[in-house]
Amino acid sequence: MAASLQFEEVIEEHKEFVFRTLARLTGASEVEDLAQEVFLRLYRGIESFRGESKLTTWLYRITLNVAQDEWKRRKKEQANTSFDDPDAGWAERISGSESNAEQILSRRESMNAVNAALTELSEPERAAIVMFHQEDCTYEQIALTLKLPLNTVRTHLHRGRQKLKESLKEHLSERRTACGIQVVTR
Amino acid sequence: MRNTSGDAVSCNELRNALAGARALTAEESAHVEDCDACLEASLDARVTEALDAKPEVRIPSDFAARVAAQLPEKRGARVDMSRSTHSYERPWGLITSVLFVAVGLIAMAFADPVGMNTRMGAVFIALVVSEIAGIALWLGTGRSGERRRLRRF
Repeated sequence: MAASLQFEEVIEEHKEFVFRTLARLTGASEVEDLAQEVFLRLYRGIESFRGESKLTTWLYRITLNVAQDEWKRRKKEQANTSFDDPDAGWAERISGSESNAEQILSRRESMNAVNAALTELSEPERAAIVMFHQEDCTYEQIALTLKLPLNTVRTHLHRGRQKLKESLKEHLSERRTACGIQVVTR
Repeated sequence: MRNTSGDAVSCNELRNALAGARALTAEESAHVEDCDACLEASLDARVTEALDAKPEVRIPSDFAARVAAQLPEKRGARVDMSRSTHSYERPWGLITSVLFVAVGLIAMAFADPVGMNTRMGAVFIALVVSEIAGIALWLGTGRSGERRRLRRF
């Protein structure tokens, strides 16, 4: 009983970043089951934890593994992982202070395009980018979590961002073309 | 290219607008389309904004309690161990240390290398035995901070 109460404190302390990271990495807004799996894996693995790294680093690793497993499972099932599906709409709910509907639309569109492009990146690129931008992790923390050299982390971040930029550029240019066609057909 | 006040939109003005996360005017947007460097900067800003945004996730208020309720029962027994002054990594840590001391004492008493009957000999034996006991205890216990913290579960 006391053990579960203490573990409950650990869950309370870390649940937000686990939920956020899972949402970002899987592209889904409902990640409760996955988050449960993360904490159960943490609990089950406590015996093998040697205390050589921080608890958060270890928890990140488990979170990334659970997200990867989910990713593979979805791929196997040929499920629709697009950000257009109703379950993948967390970007729609990000609060903002836009003054008009067009700006809101444009911002959401960019976010959705970036998030969709994020799913096309390699696993280490995606993980490094999410940890760096969303969770404000340092290069050193990312390197420790992903068990990669510091320079490799830098490379993943740089390449990942470049790919996202290219993808967004392509998306915007397609959008302009589509708008042009609409004007012509009217 | 002219801005809202009738002046030409400069790259610097545009970069400031992007840095301040201000919405671009129609003129500024047109400038972005004409200027490669500003297009790059604009894409960079959009990507950063999208990535820095934290997703709003719904976490049930009783999430932690529900997960804690699912924890396997077998772990409960470990809690009492951690509350003792010495948290032994394994029970054989203590057994090993006691055995070390006992075997050491017997061996030295039989071998009598320095003469157990002399005062110097007794002090020497006591020193050796306590050193062996200390090493055995040190090896048999877990001392890492995170590890001790987690052992409470």
